[in-house]
Amino acid sequence: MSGLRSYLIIVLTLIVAMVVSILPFPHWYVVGRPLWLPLVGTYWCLASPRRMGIVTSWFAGFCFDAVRASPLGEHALALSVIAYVIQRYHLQIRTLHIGQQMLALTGIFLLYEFLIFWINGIISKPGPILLYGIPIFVSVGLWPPVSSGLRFIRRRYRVH
Amino acid sequence: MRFRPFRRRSERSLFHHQSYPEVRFAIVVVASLALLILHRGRPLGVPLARLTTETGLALEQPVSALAGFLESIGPSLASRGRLIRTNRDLRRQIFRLRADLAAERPLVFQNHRLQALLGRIRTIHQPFRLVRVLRIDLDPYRQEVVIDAGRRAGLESGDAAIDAQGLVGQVSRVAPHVSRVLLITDPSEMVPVEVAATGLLTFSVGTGIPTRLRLPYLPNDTRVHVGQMLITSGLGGHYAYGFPVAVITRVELRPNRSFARVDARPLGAISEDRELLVLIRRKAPGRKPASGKTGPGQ
Repeated sequence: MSGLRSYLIIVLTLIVAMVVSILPFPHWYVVGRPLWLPLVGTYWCLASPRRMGIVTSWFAGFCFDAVRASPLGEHALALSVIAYVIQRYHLQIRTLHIGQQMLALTGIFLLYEFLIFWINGIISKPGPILLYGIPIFVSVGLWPPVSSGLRFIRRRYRVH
Repeated sequence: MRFRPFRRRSERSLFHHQSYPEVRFAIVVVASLALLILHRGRPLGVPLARLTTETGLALEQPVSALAGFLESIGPSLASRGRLIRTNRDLRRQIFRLRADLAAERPLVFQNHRLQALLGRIRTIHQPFRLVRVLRIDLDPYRQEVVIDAGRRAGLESGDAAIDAQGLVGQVSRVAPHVSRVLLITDPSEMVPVEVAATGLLTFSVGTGIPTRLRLPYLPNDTRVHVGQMLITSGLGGHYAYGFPVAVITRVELRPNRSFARVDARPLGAISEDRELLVLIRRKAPGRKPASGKTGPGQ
């Protein structure tokens, strides 16, 4: 497929991830809210590192910051850092078994949440640290369905 | 791939499409840090931040329309019987609440007389506006809701938001049609409160947990008890005097520390609210809720 269309598909899935993360939900869900944007971003960084890299992740994070009115650059920095890590190791991670992939992603999402916690701690007050841990495990648990769903989309629309 | 600035030409062309991720990485990190430092220096003072905040808030309306649609699927699938039952229950509830209200009316008058005698003037009778909650953010670092009224409706940042049970938060950012309400449970939010029974003045600080506030500045010889109610003290002039805020749930004296550990549960049903009241501040000079108030023991 042409490059433009591939980009369009990637951007669309990223927008869906952002919208899902800001939809209102009951409280019990919000505590364990999955990190939709890092999940989808990670998938595209692994599957199509030419299209989704550090800079695209940064822009996605920047838009997310604008939508959530969080300090500009917060999610942008966190997302671009994990995009960098994934770009360095995408060939290794891609060959892993799904369970091992989930282990690797635990580390990556831990890094992401730590960056968010850290930035929040510098800018204002970070809140209780244990609450940052729950979304990591929820997101890692969602990796198999999310990645197979996105793989379906990628094959269907031939995003390379 | 290692970072090697002096590659041979053939090597460079082979890996051209992913050359130097480190350089791009360094650029985006510097850009993010620059943005964050700008934010830290003057929150929202930067025009760029203001622009993106307003654009972000403008996106709330389509998103909430989508959420409304998803929500409307639920009731339309609900059975007729259940709707009838809910309707009947709600009617009963209205009836009971009206009866309660009628019973309380003499108390209100009595209270006004007593307040006047004490020299305190209640300023709860402010104009207010009923708003709908579009979105709730209850992350540990961000306790905030987005409401469907903004500058056009007369809201300003700093207006207090309450629900049927108590204080919920204050309007923090305003766009033309939507605005954000920072909840009292946000880690950066402090509310000047007093213990209703004793008039003891202190602050409540948000914890990032929707059901918990902390009173960190009470010394170990304080006499507070579990179950006592906290109301806004009106000091600082931000919130008017007398809104219920929270109920003390835990008092732990710690002789080895400077302050006791006191927790409270907010009265407002923050995570379940669908509607809020925003009290619109008058520009009148007489808005001094703390006037005539004296310290503890009164």
